[in-house]
Amino acid sequence: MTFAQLFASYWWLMFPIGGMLMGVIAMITHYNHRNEMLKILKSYVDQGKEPPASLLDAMRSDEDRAYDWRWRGRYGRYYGPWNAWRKVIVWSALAAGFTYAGHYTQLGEANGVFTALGVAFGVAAIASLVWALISSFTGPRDRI
Amino acid sequence: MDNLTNLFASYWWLVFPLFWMVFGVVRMALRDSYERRRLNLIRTLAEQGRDIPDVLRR
Repeated sequence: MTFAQLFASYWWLMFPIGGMLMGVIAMITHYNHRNEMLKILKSYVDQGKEPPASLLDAMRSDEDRAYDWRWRGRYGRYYGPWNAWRKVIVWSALAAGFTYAGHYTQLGEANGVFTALGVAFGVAAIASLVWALISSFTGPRDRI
Repeated sequence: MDNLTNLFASYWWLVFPLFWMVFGVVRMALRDSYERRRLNLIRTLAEQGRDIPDVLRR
């Protein structure tokens, strides 16, 4: 395979890789931005001054809230019942789909595989349902 | 060249998990520096006996 053939086969990889690089750059610049804001705050504090309210408001808007309850972080994972219930839905849908495919279609030997996958997804759905119930009743509360 | 392209043709999809791992490590490192700075700022405020602004809490 020549380089031209390789490029002809995988040119589309440019797009996902480009997107990933953009994601990394966005993440790095975002953290730099946050760090610079902390430095500014620190210089106010070192001088014994009160930092301006606008600076604190700008700090309030995002990153540290990414791990807060019910707050969808842009870069961080998010926890909490919305996420837990979302998992229940996804696992249930997968379990239903694979079980249906295993029982009501003619796929030959693949039927057994589909049924097994359906059962596995069903177990995951039940486990995530239990987890969703627990986290709905015992999770941390909103801060604001 | 030929061997290398064949290898790539077989395992190009590894780009995604590998990149995801690198992404995770970079994120952890950045998060670490941010958290250190945040805690350092909180300590400075505490040493001066001042209130910790709500935005510095999590």
